[in-house]
Amino acid sequence: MKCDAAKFAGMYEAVYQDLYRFALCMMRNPQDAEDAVSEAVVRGYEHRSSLRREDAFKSWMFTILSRVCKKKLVWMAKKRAADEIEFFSRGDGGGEDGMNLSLDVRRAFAVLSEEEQMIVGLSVFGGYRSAEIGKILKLKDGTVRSKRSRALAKMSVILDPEQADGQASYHY
Amino acid sequence: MNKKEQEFINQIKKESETVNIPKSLEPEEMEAALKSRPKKFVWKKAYTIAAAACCLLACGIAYGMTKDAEHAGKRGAAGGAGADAKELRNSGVETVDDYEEVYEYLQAYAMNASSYDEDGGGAMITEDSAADMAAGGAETKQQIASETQKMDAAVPEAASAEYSETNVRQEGVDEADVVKTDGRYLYTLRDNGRAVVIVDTKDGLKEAAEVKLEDPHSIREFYVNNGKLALVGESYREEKTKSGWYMSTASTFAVTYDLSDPAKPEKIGEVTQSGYYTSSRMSEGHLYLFSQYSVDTASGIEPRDTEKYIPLVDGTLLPGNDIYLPTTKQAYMYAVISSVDMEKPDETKDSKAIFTDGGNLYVSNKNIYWYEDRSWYTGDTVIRRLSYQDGKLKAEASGMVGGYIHDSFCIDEYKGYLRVITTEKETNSVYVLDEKLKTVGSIEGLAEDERVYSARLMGDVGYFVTFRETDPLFSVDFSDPKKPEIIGELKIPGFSEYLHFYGEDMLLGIGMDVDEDGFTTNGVKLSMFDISDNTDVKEVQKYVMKNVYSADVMYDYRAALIDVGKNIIGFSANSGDGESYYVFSYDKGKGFACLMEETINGTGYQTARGVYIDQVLYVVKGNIIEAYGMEDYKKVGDIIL
Repeated sequence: MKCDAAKFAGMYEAVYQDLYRFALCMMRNPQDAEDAVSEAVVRGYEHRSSLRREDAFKSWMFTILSRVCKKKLVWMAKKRAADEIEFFSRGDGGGEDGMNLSLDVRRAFAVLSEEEQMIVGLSVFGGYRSAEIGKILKLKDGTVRSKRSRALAKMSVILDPEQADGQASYHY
Repeated sequence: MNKKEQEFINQIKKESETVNIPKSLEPEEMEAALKSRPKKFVWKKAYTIAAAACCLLACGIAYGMTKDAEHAGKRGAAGGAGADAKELRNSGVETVDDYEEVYEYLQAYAMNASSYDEDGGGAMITEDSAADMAAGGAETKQQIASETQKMDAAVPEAASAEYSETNVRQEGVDEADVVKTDGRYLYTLRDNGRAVVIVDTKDGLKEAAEVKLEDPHSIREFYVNNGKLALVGESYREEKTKSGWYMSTASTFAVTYDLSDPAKPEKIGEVTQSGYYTSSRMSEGHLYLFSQYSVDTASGIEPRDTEKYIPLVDGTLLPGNDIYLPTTKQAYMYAVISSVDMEKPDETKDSKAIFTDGGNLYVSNKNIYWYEDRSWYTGDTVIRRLSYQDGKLKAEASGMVGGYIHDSFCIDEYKGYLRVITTEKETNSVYVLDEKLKTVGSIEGLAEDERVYSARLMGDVGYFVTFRETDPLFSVDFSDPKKPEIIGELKIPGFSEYLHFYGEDMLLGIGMDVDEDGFTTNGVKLSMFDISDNTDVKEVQKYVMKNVYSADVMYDYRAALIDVGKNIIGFSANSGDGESYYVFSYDKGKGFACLMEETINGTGYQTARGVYIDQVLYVVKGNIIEAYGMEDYKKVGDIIL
């Protein structure tokens, strides 16, 4: 597929808002989210020659972005460890001004493991099914399904307190 | 996903729509930035994080690119004849000296975690997987078809009834599934992964027993073999770390029950190993268990904390001489491979760990092949071979081929040679590797701008389908391993995602019918190819299921119920009206006939399965089993579990 900057931007237009929202849920901080998306775009653009089908663009970008976020998070954790700073639980502080993401959603994401965040984020913002997420994260789709159920059950306790009691039935 | 979960996902999406998107990310800004970007250089946006990060990232990316170029050069110099093992850092068959050596690799990864495309951190994505998703748009997009059942469904000696078995990749190597039968009882996994329900089919459907595992056990699938039920899956443990992160660790299990009395299964053994369950196989009385264990390098590990970075098998640290060196200079994840003698299901017989970045496996009758794309930009695939006779595991060789492997049907062992079909950048290749996994023969540059959709190899001949606008079905002659040769090419519209040998000289394809324009799909398509003349394969019959847009069998070969002896082709498929189960028969003169099309009433995550016992077909999905007489495919019973 031939693809110049204009064509790339055209495809990007259809997905960038969801890319950013996903990054925001992963990174917790508008600046980091912005950086992650920018970087994913550059990486995608660099390797656009291997994108053979236009309709694969969204999955391709989400895959790159989720990897970029993951590596950034690993790096940030290391940096924190190196700085020996006792850090706040992610999501509860720092740099969230102007984030505009509802507090409930932020809190709900904060209770998840990183992998669960990826899975839920890809479900919500990518609109992907378990098998597709499995391909992105290299997990079996059954694993994705059970992890997603677990994650949603955990989140429901925060987002939908009434559900907390019924959590067991919510599990799968 | 159930309705409640879907609503919940919608709710989160709705609540996040208020988010302001930064101006710099708007398409116009982005386009301008991409245009003004110097070629092959890191875009300045990547520098906006903290100074230290900036340096590391930039170095990492630049390094990645250099490697890219270097690599391309190497491949070019080799005449594109396919890379071999000498490009790998280690041969893949040497074990580590001590845990400290393992620690060094892990530490190398930890120190390098921000350099995105580093050698070992590697395998990011392949666009093909993305394309798969876009193209398929359906639930489970996994692998395709099976070698077994090639003529008839096996009839077990023990049982008097004739019944179907799981459609597997390799004849003689059993695979776990979510529904099984032993000729009288049906075994089905509850959708919540907590239990297997045993249903007696004698004189109607009755629940006979339920085998439950408690939280945090999560059953993925199971085996029913030789009077034993083996449940495989994983259990999770979650901890909050010092830095406030939640770490989930998983342990893979196999719990075995004696089925002397299926109404009262008795637990007779359990084994465990570190990591998430990835897959399993059963061959000649041994269970082979695969898990993926990633080390939490991010939160910092110390050499003395061996239990934090060395895999545990049955609660014991795996000795260094069972851990193979990575083929890369850094590592963070193991594939743990264990064998269990099903006569002694309470202990692991042998266990090995290799380093991986996430891969797939193909198990022949003698060897386990672990293959993984080395990194997403080079598009090379590393293949490792471990022999497994009688439960003894041994790494034998490792090698590399250009391109990626679409699914396990594109990799096939025959007479000591491994035949591999790959898609590489814009073209496709066929490789033949010897026991050392060195390339001895190849054909490259096939079907430009297309990619492999499905493949099936048997004996000296292989078939594979590539697709862009039309569906070339290639025939490959492998009789001289050093000179594989394309001997036939059939072009028809649409493509097959699953190929299955259907009696003598016939090859069944299940895929999509696509207009000549290459875009409009008309529905799921069944094709029958006459392969009696390999050099001139013909599509002799076809059947298009109008408005049926996907079939599970295209993504998971275990969803197929194909029995040449009984002349049935069964699978579930989705149309606008929901999910239905279909059964077809095939006649040389009259073509395909649809014998059954019935709505599936069960709901759940798991894809539907059809199994038969004698003359009754059972359609199992989630919590409901529906029975149909196979004389007229009229419903004869059901049970809600």
